[in-house]
Amino acid sequence: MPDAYEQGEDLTRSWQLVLQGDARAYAGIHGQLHPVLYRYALAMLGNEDVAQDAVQEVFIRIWYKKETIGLLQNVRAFFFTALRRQALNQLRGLRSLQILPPGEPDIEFSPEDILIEQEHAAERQSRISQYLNQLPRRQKEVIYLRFYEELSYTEIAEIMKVNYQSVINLAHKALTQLRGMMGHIPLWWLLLHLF
Amino acid sequence: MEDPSVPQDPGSSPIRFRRKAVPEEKTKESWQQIETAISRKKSGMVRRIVIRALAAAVLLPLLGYAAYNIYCSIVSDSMKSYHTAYGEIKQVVLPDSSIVYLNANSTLRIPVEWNPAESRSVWLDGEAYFEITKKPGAGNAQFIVHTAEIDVAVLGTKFNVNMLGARTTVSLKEGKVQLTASDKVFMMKPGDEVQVEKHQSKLREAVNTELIADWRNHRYHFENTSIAEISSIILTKFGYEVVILNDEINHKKISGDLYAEDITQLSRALSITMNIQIETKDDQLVFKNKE
Repeated sequence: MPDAYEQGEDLTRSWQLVLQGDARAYAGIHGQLHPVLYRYALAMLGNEDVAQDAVQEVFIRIWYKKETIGLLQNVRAFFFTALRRQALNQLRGLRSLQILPPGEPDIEFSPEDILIEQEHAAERQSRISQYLNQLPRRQKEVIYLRFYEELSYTEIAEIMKVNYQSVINLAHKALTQLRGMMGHIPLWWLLLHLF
Repeated sequence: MEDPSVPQDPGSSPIRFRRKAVPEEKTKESWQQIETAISRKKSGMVRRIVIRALAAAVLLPLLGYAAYNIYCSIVSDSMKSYHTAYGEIKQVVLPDSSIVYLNANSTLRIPVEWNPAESRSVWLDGEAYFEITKKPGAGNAQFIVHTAEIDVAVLGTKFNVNMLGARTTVSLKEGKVQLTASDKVFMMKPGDEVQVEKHQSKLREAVNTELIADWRNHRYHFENTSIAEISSIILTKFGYEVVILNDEINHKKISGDLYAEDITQLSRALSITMNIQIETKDDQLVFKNKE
């Protein structure tokens, strides 16, 4: 992911400007990160308006706390982390009102998320998304962040507040299960998508 | 970024994802909201800190003396209450600058102060139209309308809540609303209307959002509306009891829009539409066939 790296450099520079009170640099960061963060919020919260609110809330809060935050190694991971915490709080809030059933955030994959170039794609897409949704929640989140949003394992560890090795283990388990579950999908198809 | 050749790397995924595109307008709209929030507070923050410091210096010595009085006032009336008389419509501006239009014969109770760590809550009896401001950046982003039957939780929307007889109706004009009835939860989108009655609640879709809370302009919109319902409106909003002398009037239904600023205009409009005679006697409206 060479782009992601360049983007990261760019964000770090913008963040330095933000620290000096540059709102335009902040707009730049927002422009780059909003789509990614919004998607993540939507995946966790499952409602467009609530997701949009969560992202806005995070951006506003970080702006006011920027002095205490100081320099950042990884701006993107920092925003992801803040958003995840915001989403968890919001879920807790909605649950206490009994609007949502209790439990952890649960990312849901839809068939349209799965990229397939073959015939009968629809059927296979829905089968794969079913597989994914059956994975344990934390494994699902790792899969989402690593392969859907293409974050690095280091970033994911930071976001999910677990150590690097645990993320690797979660990913390993998820991928093994995934490969296992996909056992009866033709081998040629798997090969086609391995790399 | 980790080196992909590290042996512990679990490898690439056997599937590939197609990311959902986020519409540009969504990002723009988000930034607009954030921009207003961060530029509005900028000057306010500094001012607030100064005011706080001043306030502390002046008020601290007085605090001990005031504590008793404050304690008393909190216990006795921590709630502020707004009430409208029959036929009266009132506009209330809440501490967060949300606007509530209170229809006739309704009561809205709000805490004198909202705890910033909790949701903003109000209690309603009657009918009101809410224009709730978003509260980004603050802890109490959520706004909840409590009624006897339901709770309506929102983040920043325009909607109407109406209690008429045993039925509570919530109509959504803008934004999104989560409605909790005793046993059911509804996620509403604009144009949705949910009617909650004891043991049954139903959702109507695609209501004309233009007509929601049209009562603020003294407009009444009827669609195949029964006399029973009209009687109920007249009783709750104007305090007049409707008496029907000829049974055939009971079977009439009304469709159409009426404009009426008070009960006199309403009864005149109704008598013309229904082709009946309406007489006012004390606190009664008597509906009868034309002589």
